[in-house]
Amino acid sequence: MQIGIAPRLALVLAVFAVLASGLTGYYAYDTSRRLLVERAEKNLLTATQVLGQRLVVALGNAAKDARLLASQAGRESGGEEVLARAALALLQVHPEYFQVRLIDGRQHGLERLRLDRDGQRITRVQGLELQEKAHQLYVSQTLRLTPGQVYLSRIFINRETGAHAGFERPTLIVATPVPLADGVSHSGRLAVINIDLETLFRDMRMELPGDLKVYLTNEWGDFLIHPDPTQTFGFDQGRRVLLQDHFPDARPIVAGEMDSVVVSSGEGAQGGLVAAFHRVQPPDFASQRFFIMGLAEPLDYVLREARLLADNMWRIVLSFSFLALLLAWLVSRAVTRPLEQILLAVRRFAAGDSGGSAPLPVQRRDEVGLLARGMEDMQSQIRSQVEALEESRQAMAHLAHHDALTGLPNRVTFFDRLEHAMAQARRQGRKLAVLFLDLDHFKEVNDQYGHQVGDQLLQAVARRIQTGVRESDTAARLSGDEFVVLLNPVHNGEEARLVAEKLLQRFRELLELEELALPVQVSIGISLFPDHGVSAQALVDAADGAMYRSKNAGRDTCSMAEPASPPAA
Amino acid sequence: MGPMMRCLLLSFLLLLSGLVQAGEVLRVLAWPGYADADLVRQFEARHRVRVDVITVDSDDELWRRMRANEGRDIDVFAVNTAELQRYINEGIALALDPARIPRIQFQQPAFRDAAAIPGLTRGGRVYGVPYAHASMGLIYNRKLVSTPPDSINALWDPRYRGQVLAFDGSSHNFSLAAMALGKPPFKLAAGDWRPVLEKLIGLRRNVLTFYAQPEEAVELFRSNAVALVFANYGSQQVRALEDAGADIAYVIPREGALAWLDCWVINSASLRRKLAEAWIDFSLEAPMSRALTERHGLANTLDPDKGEPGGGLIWLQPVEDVERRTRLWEKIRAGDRLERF
Repeated sequence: MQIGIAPRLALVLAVFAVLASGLTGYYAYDTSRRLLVERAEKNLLTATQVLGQRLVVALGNAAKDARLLASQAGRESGGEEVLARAALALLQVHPEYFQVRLIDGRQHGLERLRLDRDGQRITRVQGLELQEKAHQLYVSQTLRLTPGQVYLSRIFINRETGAHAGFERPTLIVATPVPLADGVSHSGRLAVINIDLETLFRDMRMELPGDLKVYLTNEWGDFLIHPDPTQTFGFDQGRRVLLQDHFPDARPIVAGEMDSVVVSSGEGAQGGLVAAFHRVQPPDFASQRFFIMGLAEPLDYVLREARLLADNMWRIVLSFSFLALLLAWLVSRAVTRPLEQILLAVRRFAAGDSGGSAPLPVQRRDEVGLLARGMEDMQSQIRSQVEALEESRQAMAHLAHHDALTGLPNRVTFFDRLEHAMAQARRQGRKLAVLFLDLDHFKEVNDQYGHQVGDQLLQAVARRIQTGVRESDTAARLSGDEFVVLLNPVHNGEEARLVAEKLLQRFRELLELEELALPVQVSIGISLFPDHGVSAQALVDAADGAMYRSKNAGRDTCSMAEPASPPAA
Repeated sequence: MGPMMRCLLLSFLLLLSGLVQAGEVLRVLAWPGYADADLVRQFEARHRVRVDVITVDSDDELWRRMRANEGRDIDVFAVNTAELQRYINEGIALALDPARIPRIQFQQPAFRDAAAIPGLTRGGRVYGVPYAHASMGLIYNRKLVSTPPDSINALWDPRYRGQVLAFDGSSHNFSLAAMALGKPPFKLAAGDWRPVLEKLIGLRRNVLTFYAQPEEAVELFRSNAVALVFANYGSQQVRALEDAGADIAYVIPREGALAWLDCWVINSASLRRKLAEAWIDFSLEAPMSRALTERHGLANTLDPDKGEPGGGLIWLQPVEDVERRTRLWEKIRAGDRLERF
């Protein structure tokens, strides 16, 4: 299959344009995607650090509150009502505290003062409902501290029945010993604040966008908060669900080698996440306990702007491609149209349709215009050459059918016309006549005045014969000084004889040549069709014979041919 | 015969033996450490069969697997005596003919006498062959305890107040308290509950805390002055503490120690009983049984227990009321005083 320049050009242009816009779009998308992930990572890390700081501040406040309560208990020995009011105030101010207590380590850890959050209310637990807590680590561990130091528990699931709130909830305990008056030793009592981690985090995450996932692990990487609650406190059910298993890139932070890590999990079990983890170590406590805080955002969500961009990019790429196609078509048309015009002109020219030939775009000022002008020049050159050829061809044709000297039809033409006329006459049942003329004494003229005068004489004779017959008649020179005339039509021999007589009459006048006037006379023989022959040659021969009889009869006369043998059918 | 021919013949023989082995497959459901790969290969080579070992790590998982696909997936499995009851109830456990497992005669006398092991027999028929066991004795800190404790009551000794680590488990703790009081551990009578409760509150007042995981006990041992530990995880826990550098010893108190005993049981749906019996017999050979002890810290049935004179082992049995023990234990652990019960 042949493909024209136009589609080829259009295709190349279009492919180029589509490629260019497509590649630009792809790289823009890729770059923006990378930038979005980087930005999300940075934002997440910042948010994680801020959230971690909030946890540090919240725990710091709890430590402060515990110290305050302990020092109050130390000062006002016996003034339980005052302490109860202070504990109540703490619970009212901090929705994340669900229990504030004063415990006496000397009586198996019996609770001396206990206020529980109970839904919207705050209940003071009294009498037999007060429990013994010496077997809880927070009691023994706190009593090992000196006043002012604060114990921070692990985060655990609270299984202590009897509390009004916080049962089965992730809990953190902050406790500090009650100081004696000397401020150095303690009384064996301790102030304890139970913090509900869920409430604490619910308040903290209020400020976060809703699609952020929050993670919290202990120092070993066990999940304590996880978007999927079944993944939390795995150790509580005899299995470990560890940060470092879910996010292998977060291992250094569990190992204590790094304070922060940013993780982009691929299309893993989490379905693609960008996550930041940060080590949070509350500074207000006796232990070196730390937590790992994490925030994650679905990659989908991070990339939704990129997707938006991709959608737009597609649209732009498509419309650019469409524009490019259109442009390519227009450009190719602009280039090929004048070429087509030229082609059309050439075709028409070639077809010889020179009259209505298509116009060439000669007015253009570019290469195409140049080409058109060249084509035009060539056309006119060809045209003039063709004309010259035609002229010479016509001259040749004239020469072939006419006598070169006199311009009269030659023998061939005469016989041709005679046969045509005979055929016609036969059909129509008409007659025609042939006059055979021979100059008298032409030889003497030739001898006397030379060939040039002879020739002038023949030309003059021809003119005289020509002007002496009708338009419809044909005069021709057969050879030398022999001329024939076809009279078509004639009604009878008499009519032919009259024409011959008339010719004889004309020849009786002097022939005016260039330098002299000469008397020339002719002898004429007449034959009639079909009377004297039914073939051209027979007719001419019959006229020739009649002409000889005229010569014999003394010249300057005309004779009718003898009746011939009966005409053929 | 050229080396080429020899090579070909060898490959052919190997291929043939492979085909024979592929013919029969014994499927074993066991616990970690019960069937190490090298020992399994010995059995495969001896019997020209293939053995598929599947491991489980909880009683519930074991139960689920044995019930799946009508139990046809497994030929022989290991289960403890307390759990065995429900497999017998469901008709999953096949009654055995001890004569077909000749190495039973080389087991310690305590394990040879199936009738003396509660839960191993029913209606005079034997349903399992003891294979591995572990006791729950007392671990004591040689640095803090001068004379080895000889009674469970050491856990209540006021000298060790705040230095005792007990286990946070309802069932075992009630059994323990009952044993301390000289009562049957698994079937508390109506009148037993009150004294046992008092005993458990006494335990609570004497402990540092109740631990759940063996690693947790190690951690507590390291960061606190701990004199006595109730070894819920038995010799495995002893090993973990020794590995952590603790100077400890392990005793079985005179009241005896609670112990679990895992037995091989043949699935009644199995079509390969002979092979399963051969497997059980093979597991009682010295290499495999001793691997339990040497490699995994579990006790086998061939050798007498080292350093466990005391009152012997009390194999775990189903308790009278799991729910009641759990409910009461939660209150005890929360710190309720006796008046609240």
